Amino acid sequence: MKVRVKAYIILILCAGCAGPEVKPSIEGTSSQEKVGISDAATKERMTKLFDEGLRIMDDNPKGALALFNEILMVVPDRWEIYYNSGLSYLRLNEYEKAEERFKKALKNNAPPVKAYNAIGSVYLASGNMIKAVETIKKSLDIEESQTAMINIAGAYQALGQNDMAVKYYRKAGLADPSNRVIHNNLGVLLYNMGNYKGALEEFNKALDKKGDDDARLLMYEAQSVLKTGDYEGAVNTFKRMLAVVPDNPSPFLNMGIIYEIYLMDMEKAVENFEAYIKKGGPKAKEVEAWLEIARNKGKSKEGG
Amino acid sequence: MLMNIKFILFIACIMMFYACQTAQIKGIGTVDELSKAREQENKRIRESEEYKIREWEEYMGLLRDQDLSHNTILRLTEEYLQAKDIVYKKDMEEYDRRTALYQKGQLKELPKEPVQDYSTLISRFKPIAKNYRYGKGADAILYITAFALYEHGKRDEAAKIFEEMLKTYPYSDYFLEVSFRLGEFYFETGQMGEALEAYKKAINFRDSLLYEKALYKIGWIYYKIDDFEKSAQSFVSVLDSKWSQDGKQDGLTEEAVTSTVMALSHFKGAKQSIDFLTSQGTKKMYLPAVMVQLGDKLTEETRFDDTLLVYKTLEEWFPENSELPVIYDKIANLYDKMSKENDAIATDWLAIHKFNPGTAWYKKNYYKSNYFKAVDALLSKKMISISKKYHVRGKKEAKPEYLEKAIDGYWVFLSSYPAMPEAKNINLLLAEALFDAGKYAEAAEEYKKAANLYPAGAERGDIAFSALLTYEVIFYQSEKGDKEIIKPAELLVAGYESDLIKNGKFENSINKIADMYTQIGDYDKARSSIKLLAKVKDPTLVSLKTAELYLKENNLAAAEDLYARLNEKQSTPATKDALANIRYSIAEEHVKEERFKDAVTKFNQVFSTFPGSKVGEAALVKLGYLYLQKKEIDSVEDIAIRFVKAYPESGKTLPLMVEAGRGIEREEPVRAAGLYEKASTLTRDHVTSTKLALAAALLYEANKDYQKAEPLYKKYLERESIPLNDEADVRLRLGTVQFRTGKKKEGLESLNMVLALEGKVNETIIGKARLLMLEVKESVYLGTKLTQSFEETFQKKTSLLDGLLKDYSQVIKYKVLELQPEVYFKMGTALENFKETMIQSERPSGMSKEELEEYSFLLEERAYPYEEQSVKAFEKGLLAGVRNRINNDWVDKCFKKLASIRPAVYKRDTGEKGPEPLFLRIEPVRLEKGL
Repeated sequence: MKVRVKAYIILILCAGCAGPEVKPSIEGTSSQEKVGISDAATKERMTKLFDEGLRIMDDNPKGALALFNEILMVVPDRWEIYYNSGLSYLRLNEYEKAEERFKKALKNNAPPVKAYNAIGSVYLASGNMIKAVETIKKSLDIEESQTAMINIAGAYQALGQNDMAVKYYRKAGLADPSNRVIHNNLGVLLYNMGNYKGALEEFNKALDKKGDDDARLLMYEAQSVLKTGDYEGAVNTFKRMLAVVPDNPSPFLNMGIIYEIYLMDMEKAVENFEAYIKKGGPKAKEVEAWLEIARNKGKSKEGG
Repeated sequence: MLMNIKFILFIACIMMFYACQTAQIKGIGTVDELSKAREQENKRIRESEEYKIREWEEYMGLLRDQDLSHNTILRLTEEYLQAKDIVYKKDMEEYDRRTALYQKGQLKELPKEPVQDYSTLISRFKPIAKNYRYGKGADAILYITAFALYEHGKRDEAAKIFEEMLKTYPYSDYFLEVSFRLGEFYFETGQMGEALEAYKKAINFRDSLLYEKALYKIGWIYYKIDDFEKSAQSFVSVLDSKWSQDGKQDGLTEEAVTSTVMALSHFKGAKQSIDFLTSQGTKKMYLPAVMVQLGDKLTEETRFDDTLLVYKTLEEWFPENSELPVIYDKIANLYDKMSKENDAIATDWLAIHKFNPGTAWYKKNYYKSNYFKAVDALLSKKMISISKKYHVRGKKEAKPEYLEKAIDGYWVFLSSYPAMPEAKNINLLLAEALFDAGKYAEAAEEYKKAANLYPAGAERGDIAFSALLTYEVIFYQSEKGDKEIIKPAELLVAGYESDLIKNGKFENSINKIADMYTQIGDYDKARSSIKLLAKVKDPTLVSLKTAELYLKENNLAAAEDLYARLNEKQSTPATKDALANIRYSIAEEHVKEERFKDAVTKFNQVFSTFPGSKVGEAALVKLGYLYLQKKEIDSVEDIAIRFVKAYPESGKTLPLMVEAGRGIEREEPVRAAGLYEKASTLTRDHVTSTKLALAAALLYEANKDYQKAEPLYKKYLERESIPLNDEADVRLRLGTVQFRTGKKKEGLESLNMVLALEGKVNETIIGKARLLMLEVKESVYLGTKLTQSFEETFQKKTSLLDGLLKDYSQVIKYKVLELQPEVYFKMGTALENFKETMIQSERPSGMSKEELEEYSFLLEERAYPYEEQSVKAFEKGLLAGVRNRINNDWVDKCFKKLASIRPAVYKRDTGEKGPEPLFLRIEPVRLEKGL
């Protein structure tokens, strides 16, 4: 029960991101006559299946998909089912099928804003930014939702159309000035323009609001700091990242490189390379060679 | 016989009184038919009397020859004297008439005054009197004789006869008259003692007609001998005897009053006079008359204090006397003369309260209607003057007590004389006094009353307006604004509408009513009031006023609607301006309520309503900042374009553009540069313009838009008096962009101008200029290949390398830290290039495979040191960056080169991607309704 309640709460919260809901059409009523859910038991069973699909979607999109497909056998004209099954395909990276399901949802009276956003997400995920922009625009023509504005901005950014990206980030930012994603993306945009100071500002703004992806933001921040020539500052940022994700080997690798190449502190470089290897970083083998070189550099330094 | 004698005596007395009086000149009658009839009647009478005179003369003519009867003589003499008297009167009338004509110039000669001639009588009676001394009637004949002599001017002779008669006939009926006549004779001849004696004899006969006359004469005798008390006493005795209760006094009484006053005036002081009069009895009816005249007399003699005492005593004794108002007036005038203004005013104040028609005094005395017309005139005048005095003083000195008196005075007048013509003006003054005293409610009522007294017209309108002003004061003095006050004010305006229109205050009145309603928030009623203005004003103006009310009510929508309609009907700058301003306010409301789209629409509407106006300009500015707030830069630029078109002289776009540029500079530097560039063209201020041009150029350059940067740098350099360092810096940048756009020649010129400033400007700039100039050399060096003959080209390339390295070393000596990574990189690149060039150099022809391998091996060996040097250079570049905390492209390039040449030592790849944008995940949906 508790889990179910939690799921409901999450769904409710997420529903706010999804935009305004459209009232169900009259056809929904008649569909019961068509398909033949005349008995309450079937109704109940299908509803339970639906709720279960929602519950397991994040961790098991395949399982959720199977449930939604089952419901569709009995109830073939409810947009919510097509929509969620499309979402499951998307999480499984099956973009074509995801697109197909979302289009079916649209045909079955899904709110166009939601449907277009969803289709847009498919294009974003598949890297088709031009189509992503086209589709999300349709959603924005109906309603300027935060999600749509941020996603279309990201698409423009990926297309290198920074001016359009900035335009939508600004619009989205007006509605929600402390939105992490907007600051993150603006930071990325500025980083790519070579404006590392500006990028730092944006990453810091994003970090002001605590979130699950603080480690990622700290990484970006560290990269930006490094670009400004503040090597010690970059090291400190990686240390902050370690405080958030102590088991992540990446900070050690980055610190090791900074110490070795820029700060020429072989001792610390060795320390960090060793820590990286210990944490089981994926480039451990390569780093071992670097470790050796750093040790040698250290010895030759001592020797004069 | 006795009857005849008494008649003769009566006639004689009448004639003696006549002799004491001065002849009165009668008025001249008009020459018309009536006077003609009168003339004829006079003629008839005259002839009749002259006949009687002739008859007597004829009869008395017979005395010489006959012994005539004394009775007949006396009887005829009676008729004779009567006729003589009548004829004399007629002669006197004729004389007066002719004298008047003479004075008018209608007669040439002054007429002769008739003289009563008794010579015939005297001549006839003398012998009779001489011979008839003891018989009956002898005293009559003697008296007539003496009388005729006296009247004829022979007074001495007459006096002798009178004296004789007193002695001879002590019991005669003529004793009193003879005594009196003698007294007159002695008085006229200055024989006061004898006169006194004679008059005293006369006063023994109290019932006689001559009694008072004798007393009067005795009074004068005492006066002449300075015995003023006895004189006064005598005169007072006359008054005691003759004073008429009905108030109508004869001549003697009146003269006795005057004479008493004259005597009293010679007393030592007024107190003595008062004491004397007191001794006579303070209830005597003549006393007021005496005291009034005494007061007047004392006033003439400037004995003011005495006068005051007399007047006050008069009031004390006769509080009901009808003369008191006049007395009070005299007292007040006296105070004025004595410079005691306050006492004068106080006296008048008392007078109007004591004697006004509402008082018991007045009611008691009012029956004397003729006199009281004068009293009313006096009192009413006093009421007005004293009230006005208090009114003026009250206002001037801000003393409420004076105003209260003024009000009281006006009230007294109005209650006393409501029918007087002055009443309406006094009612108005009362209203004003009430207003001045702050009694507004009463003032309003009185204004209304006053207005009702005036005929319709402008003047009545003025009064009605004053009433309205009073209501207005009451309204605004009340704490929250009293609605109950507005109603009577409204009724007032309605009631006197035509008067207010006539005096041109109708509009003002309506506005005041409307303002009052506005004050209590009843805008509907205010607007209803305004509608009435249509009677005097153009409906358009009335609509305007109504619209203003909507504005006050903050009902902008209704105001806008009305102004829009007005504007449609009659578009004037004023209506356009008003409408535009309302729309501006509405737009601001939208801004406040964060209704962005509505605000934009409205501000646009403001501009289109009145383009070119100040409010239109303000609207565009607001629009610009709104768009700026929303970061809609495209729209900001549109606004700027519209602005420049509509307001070419306005400088207000400039800050907008600059702020817009600042807002996007970080994310859209090139666009920001565009805004600055545009802004630089919008200002006539050269300094600002060039500053903006420079800001734009810097951004263009940083974003490699060199084509756009070049003209802007040039524009900046056109500025006068640029600081040297700034000039050098900008010239360096100009040179840089020229190089980058392939304009090498121009670039070199610019850079040479910079180098010419070496020693005067910052070394960084010189260093950068030198480094930039070396690109040409670098380009030549890099382009130099090692071909056969190898030694020749090798030497050439070596020489170029040495030269280049030397030049780079020179730049290093400037110790410009930020340049060091670049210089070392270039040095490293040059060295690396030498190595590569050597390895890729053209092989001599005709070599075998082994010889070629050997040749290549030897080349590599020779080239390797250059690689070593290049690595060192790159390392120096990297180190310079690290040490100086520089991590620019050159440091990065040095690092990348090192990673490429010495991968084992420098190639360090984390395998991580750089920052990437995030996309928001869409979330699943719940069922909208049950399945």
